[in-house]
Amino acid sequence: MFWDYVFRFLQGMGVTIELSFCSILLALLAGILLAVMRICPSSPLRFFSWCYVEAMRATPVLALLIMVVWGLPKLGLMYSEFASSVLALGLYTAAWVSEAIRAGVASVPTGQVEAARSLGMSFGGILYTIVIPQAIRTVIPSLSGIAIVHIKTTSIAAVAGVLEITATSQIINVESAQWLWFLGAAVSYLILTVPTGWFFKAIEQRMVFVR
Amino acid sequence: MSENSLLYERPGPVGLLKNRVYAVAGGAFVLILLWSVIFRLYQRGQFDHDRWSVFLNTQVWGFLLNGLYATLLVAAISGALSFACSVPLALARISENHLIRKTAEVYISAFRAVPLLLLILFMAVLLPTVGFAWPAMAFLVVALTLHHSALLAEIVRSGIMSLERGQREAAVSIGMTGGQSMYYIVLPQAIRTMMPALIGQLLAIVQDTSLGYIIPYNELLRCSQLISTYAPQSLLQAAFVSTLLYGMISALLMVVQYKVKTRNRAVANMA
Repeated sequence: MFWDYVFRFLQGMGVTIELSFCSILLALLAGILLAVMRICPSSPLRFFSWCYVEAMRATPVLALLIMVVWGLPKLGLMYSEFASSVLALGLYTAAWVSEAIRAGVASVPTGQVEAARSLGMSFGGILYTIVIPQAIRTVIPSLSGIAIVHIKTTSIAAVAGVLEITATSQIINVESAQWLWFLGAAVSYLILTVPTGWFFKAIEQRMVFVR
Repeated sequence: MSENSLLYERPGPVGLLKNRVYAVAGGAFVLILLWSVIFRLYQRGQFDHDRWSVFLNTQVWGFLLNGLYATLLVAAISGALSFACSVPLALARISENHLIRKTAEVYISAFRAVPLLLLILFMAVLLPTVGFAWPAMAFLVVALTLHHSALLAEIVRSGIMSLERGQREAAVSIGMTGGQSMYYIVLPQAIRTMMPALIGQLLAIVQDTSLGYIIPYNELLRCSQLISTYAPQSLLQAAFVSTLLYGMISALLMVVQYKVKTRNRAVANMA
């Protein structure tokens, strides 16, 4: 019986890892796109990006998740709860990623941009070769923080019925009447978040540069 | 928005044309996406009268506003409690006593590491078994306070650390004790500089009360779902309306945060 619980618990951990990985990837891509839109010359795109970020800041992530999970079937798009959760969590964290990257863009010295412009580089060229690489390196610590918070936020997918660590520990707790499983769940989040911090630290050290 | 305009030349006639083309293309893409979502919802009858007519009922609104009240009540109580706990925690975190400092560190890192949802579920299971047969609201308040006091303590600590050392040294040199200098000199200034971050944390607390949904505590999100047991066709509509209500509260706090931030900047520029 005990080993059955352990097996299901490890399965839940696997689901949390998949969920976090997919949604962080989505959040990074969408976040970079939003950050670029926010600083581009076209004012409607800037306005759209601003609206998106502020709307996400003003929405509780659980309300967003519920709307996506219940709403997508109403649109006739029948995905699994897992896919809906990835979408909702990824779109939510994208707003925070874009804010972080924007802060990184502001940290690039204006002289570099002016030098690039005086060489006749285009907006896209400046962003791609000069601004974004430096901006991302500068904000790796805050991206690390966002990723760690994000891994913990994936626990709300339990409400949508995805059997990740939190949902599994809740079910096992009911079946076995043993609340120690919750402590196990807390420890397994540590097992996931601490190496994430190490991972980003390693990237930071590898990408370190002197300005 | 204009702070980054250094990134590109002021567009000439060709550039303006290009920007306009991009804007039209981007705008068209967004509009088509929005329109296809709205059209599909329309096709599936999500805008029909009987799906929205629930919100013409004053009793339904009374129920929703009760939920909003429950949300704000929990947010206010746990916000006040977390702030009250966070200042001593932050002071313990920078204490010179090794034992006190370590205890605060363990508390802060433990409650920052646990997902809030897990903590709420855990409290709802643990507290009754050890003899606290409280209502669901109390579990929510306890969990929110434990989690957010740890987060707030880090904000308060960084606020204290960001203040110049000289302030404290000057206070001690005119004969204040350590406690007095903290209470009269350091904390008032630190709290003023970290006010935007504190308001941001209050915003997070308001939004996190929605996790009370699962214990279950009848806050706004749960109420909106309960409406759909009375009017099953309005499930999505109720969730949408409750999200709008959350959005209004959040927007209010965000405006206050912005005002405080600009006022702080103005004060800093004067000095």
